[in-house]
Amino acid sequence: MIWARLVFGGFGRRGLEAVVALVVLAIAAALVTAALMVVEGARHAMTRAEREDRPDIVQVKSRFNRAVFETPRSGNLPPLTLPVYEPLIDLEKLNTAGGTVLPRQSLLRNVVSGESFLNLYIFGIEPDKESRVSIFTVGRGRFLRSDDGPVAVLDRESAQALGVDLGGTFPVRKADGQDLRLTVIGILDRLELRDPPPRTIDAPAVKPDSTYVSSGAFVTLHTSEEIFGRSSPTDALIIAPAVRDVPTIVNGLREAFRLEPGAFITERYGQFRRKVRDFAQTLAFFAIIAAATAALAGSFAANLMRDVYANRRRQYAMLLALGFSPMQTTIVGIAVGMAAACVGTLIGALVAVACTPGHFAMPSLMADLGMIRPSFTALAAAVVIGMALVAVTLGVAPTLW
Amino acid sequence: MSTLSFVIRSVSKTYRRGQRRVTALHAVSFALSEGELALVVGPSGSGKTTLLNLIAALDRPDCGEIIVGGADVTALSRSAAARYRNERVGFIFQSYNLLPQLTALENILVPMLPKRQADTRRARELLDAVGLGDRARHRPSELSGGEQQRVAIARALVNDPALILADEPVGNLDDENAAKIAKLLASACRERGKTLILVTHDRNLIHPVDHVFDLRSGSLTSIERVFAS
Repeated sequence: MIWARLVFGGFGRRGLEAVVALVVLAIAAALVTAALMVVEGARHAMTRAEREDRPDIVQVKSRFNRAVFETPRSGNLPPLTLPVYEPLIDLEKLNTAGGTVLPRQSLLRNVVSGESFLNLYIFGIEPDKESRVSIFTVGRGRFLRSDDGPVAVLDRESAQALGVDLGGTFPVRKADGQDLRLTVIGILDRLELRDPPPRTIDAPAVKPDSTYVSSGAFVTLHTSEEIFGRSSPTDALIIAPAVRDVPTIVNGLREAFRLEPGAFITERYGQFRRKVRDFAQTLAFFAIIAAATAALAGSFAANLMRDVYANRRRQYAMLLALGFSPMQTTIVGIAVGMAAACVGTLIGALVAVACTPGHFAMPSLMADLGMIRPSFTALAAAVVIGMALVAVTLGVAPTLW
Repeated sequence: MSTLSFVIRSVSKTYRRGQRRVTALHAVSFALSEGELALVVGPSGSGKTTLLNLIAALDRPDCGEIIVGGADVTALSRSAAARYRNERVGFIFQSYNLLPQLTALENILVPMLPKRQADTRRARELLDAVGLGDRARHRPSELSGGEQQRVAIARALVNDPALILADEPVGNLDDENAAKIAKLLASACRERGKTLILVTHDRNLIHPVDHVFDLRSGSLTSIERVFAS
């Protein structure tokens, strides 16, 4: 009890200033914590966007030909060979641009399924490379290997629509009019194809509402070439060695395909860079809020603390004379300031965590990042604690030293 | 003949005030035996408080030795000096320096706090001894100047130190109270066998005393050994 009164008592009206300092620190801690939580949330969103958007990928695709989708849905017509994109991509030109090239043949086949026809997307891919950009989660069986023959991996929706299971076969009409039977070697639980073609025809779909193709049969590129009867890809992805290399690769591709009006080159890097700029501005805005709040509130709290301690210097000198060690005197001296700093920081941080919205959308291009989810991190904790400690130290130092 | 328990040998201390060096003490030497009472008299600025601060190891001399109980206190580390002050020195200030947030009894207990051995019974005995047994729960603001200094005397004695340092202990009191407090302090030290060094302007404040040291401009100009009749 004596210790408590020795440490916390005797401030008189100055005690009120200590309470005000505590409140100021609490408010500052709340603002700084909230700002840093938003910064952290934005940083996560940016990281997520970079991971999901893959600005390092450049897409090259052929002209999309809508006319070919006038597919017979019933009747006794023979199955048709329908490309999604026209096969206009020259692989050699792709290879001149640099980066890792992932050629694809994205086909639409009207295959026989029981007594009817089924529109089925068939993708000729290079399995090893494609796995670097798309998500294939094999539920049963196995995924493709580059040396596989006439085999296919299907997602569950396509398998059900075709009425085939692992080990089963289904016919696909080749360009030469012959059927090629593809054996199902794997069923996918999850499929997220990077940069799929637009979905413009009724076909099995993992994501029914998606405007892009979300379902299909995957075969090796040489199998699709056999089906398609040609070796030129319909589309391709190029992975840049680094994000900053994208403009160079795009320029190289545009130069390579400058005489080919049916080839389109798209990149996300430009938009991503604008997002980054928005992101940096947002970070700067919230960081400025945090820094200004910390500086203003910290200096205010420090001044208050200096006033609080102004009359204590004599007491601490007396305690030294009575045999308190310098450490004990310092502890007695800083206890009020530390208590104000700790309580203020704790209250402020709790208020910030409680009141900051769980998620919200950012304005402008950053909205594309998706929801910002503010999160309380060790960095935020360290910053607010540091702010409080610095403020109190500056306030207490003139008295104790 | 009692043994020498306290020796100051050639102690000097200078302070730097801006570009100027001020000599606070110059080659001060004297010795006291256990249980002796000494007055240090001299005008303001003569170095009396500096001398007490050096004896209490609150400051270090530029040169010289201060031997208390066989140990040189000028060589103590900061923590050892704190322990020395706590265990072997009782300090009485001119302005009492009681903690306003604590009661009289709690103020007496303060020197016991560093060792975490707050002996309330002993504090009450000392409060009774200085005549304030009924004011234990009063705050300093509720006590007169004389009463506050009585509490300060009890506080100085609570850890049973061998040496009591009193810096103008009656400087803030009227003559009547000053005489009472001085008498109380002297008798408290004599009864308990404490060595008292009392800084004052008034060389007749306590009678009888064993020594009177006259300090002027940092130097001892006269050392009187007074033999009580």
